[in-house]
Amino acid sequence: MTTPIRVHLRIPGTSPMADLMALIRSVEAAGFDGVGILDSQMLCRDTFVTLGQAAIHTSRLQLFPAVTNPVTRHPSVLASAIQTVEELAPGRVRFVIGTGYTSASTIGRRPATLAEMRACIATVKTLLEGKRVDWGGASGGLAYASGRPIPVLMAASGAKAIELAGEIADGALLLVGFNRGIVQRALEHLDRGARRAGRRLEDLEVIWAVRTGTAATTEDARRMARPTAVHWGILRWGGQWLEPAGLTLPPLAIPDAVRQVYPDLSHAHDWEAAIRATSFVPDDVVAQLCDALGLVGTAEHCAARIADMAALGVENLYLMPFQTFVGPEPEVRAFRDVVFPRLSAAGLR
Amino acid sequence: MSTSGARFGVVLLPESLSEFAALCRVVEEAGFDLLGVADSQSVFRELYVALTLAALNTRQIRLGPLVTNPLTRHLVVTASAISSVDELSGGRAMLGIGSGDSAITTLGAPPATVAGLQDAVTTVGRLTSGARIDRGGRRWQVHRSARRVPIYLAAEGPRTLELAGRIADGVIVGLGLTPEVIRLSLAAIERGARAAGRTLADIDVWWFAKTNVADTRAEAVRPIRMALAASANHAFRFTLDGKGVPPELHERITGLQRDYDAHHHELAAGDNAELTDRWGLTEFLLDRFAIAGTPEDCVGQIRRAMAAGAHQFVITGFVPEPTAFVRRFAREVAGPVRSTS
Repeated sequence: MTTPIRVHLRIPGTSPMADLMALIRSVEAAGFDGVGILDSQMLCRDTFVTLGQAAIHTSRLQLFPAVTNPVTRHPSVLASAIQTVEELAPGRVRFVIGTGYTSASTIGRRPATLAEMRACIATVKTLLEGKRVDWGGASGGLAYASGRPIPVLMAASGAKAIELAGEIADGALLLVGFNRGIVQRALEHLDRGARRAGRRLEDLEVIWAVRTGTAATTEDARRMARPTAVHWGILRWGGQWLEPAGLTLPPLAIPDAVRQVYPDLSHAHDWEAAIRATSFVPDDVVAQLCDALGLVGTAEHCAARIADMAALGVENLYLMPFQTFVGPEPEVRAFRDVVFPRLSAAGLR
Repeated sequence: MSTSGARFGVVLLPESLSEFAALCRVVEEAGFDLLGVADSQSVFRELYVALTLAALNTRQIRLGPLVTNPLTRHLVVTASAISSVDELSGGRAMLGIGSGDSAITTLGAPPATVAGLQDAVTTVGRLTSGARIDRGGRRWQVHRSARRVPIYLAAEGPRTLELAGRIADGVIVGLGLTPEVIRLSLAAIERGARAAGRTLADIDVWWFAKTNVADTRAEAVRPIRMALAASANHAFRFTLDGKGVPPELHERITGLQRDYDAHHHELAAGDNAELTDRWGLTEFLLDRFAIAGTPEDCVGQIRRAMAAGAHQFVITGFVPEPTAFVRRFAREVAGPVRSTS
């Protein structure tokens, strides 16, 4: 019997609270397994206020910040906040932390270093276990740690970060891409990290962050995916994931306008303008990037891709719709009406 | 600001969430005007998750941190979080902020400076109004609620009280409730207000009181001795000068501060409860910081403070049975005070 595919969805806190809660309830009703709440204090409503409400308004969904960071809150506040949310949703909470992307860049801070990640994750885990931490000048713990485990996952995209996640965290949220070569390479890194700590890959929870865009036609989906595909495939990936993905891209001159988009191409507020800014990339290159990066196409195509990847052991997904700050309603409908029924029919749910 | 009738707020410690929502509803039903939630991440449940519960379980009462600090969360996170609570509560949020007590000292970190507080009050206030602020090479901005969230500065000394008068929407005075202390506090707030072209009437002034009510004075005092120790530790931690403390008590207060354990902050079962007796300060601290005793004692203490110019009181619900306490205080203390003030 194949392990059922679990699917979590990213929720941006960009709409009014009442709408956000209606959306989260609809995500639960649509059959999703969990939601990740964006943490970007300039762009979204507060993550832990949203998580606290979501805990009250849902009964089954897994809940996690997606992803929080060690830059904007003290580690003791992070541990306190997730422990408090867990009290409202016992057994349904994860803690997911990364180096800080828009949450750091928008306030002029650099993302955390891997050494800072190591320290913060160790601190949060210690506090959640009910143990004391030496703060240098004082020592103390979280007086109300429940003792129920709250998995601490590290979000990672690069090789060194993935290895660190394998070494120190309870699992990893891997934002790398979604094809055979990428998945295999990422698992190699995770395994290397796990072995450093005397652990095995099987000891870790792995969630695959998958950029997702569904549309009525493949062409429409790929067009809408352009800013993210170009941002990650051309501006950010460098050589790291292209080679395992099996992609060879033609040389492309990157126009300055691409780097002017606020806060960056993949988080653009004006998505149509961002699409125009990617016109220097030919359609066939975008098509290759979309297939390597995530789930881009019709709902039927997405269902078939998920089933393919399940054969590699990719069974725990976190969908990141392309427009970070736009509600994921189209994806909710596509998965409820097409993808979940197809996966069920294939014995995958 | 009301200058005649008495108004009451209450600070709750989110020691558990199981009864917290029900307690918030009781506070509102009992007629309180302000519901504060303590912020001390190592000791209590997290502030903004607790405020989320408070907002979802009340309809009219104003609510907010009493008090948060500018150090354990980035100022933009604080602005974003309080704006979220404001939106969730339909425009009922306020932000009480101070230099940091147990939230900071449990981490071995120094509290915020006066300059840091000034920056926090103005920055968070502007961010919640939707303003963009150029800082650190970036433009800070948050998802705002429908309005600017009022910022209250928690102050225990002349400099911070003046600062509150100058820049804050309100002040939570933690320096004490004796007539002498009330007059010197109001004078400091007024100096600050005048310096900014405002008057005392422009500042929403609340007086912080360690509170309990019982059938006898001794019964009322016993459970809040740790809260009195906390006041002695906090209100005088930078200096005793200019705070109206008799010189013969200075040494005892510094002794109590040396013995104070921040990890047991405001916890009735903690070690701090013994400190007020150990240092012979219980009576002094009761007179100075408390509304505690029989209902008649409490009414008398509030009337004394009102005669000196205090009208709005933030009481503490730091007692073993806060629900019963809140109901009894409203019925047997606040009611009689309001009917005669």
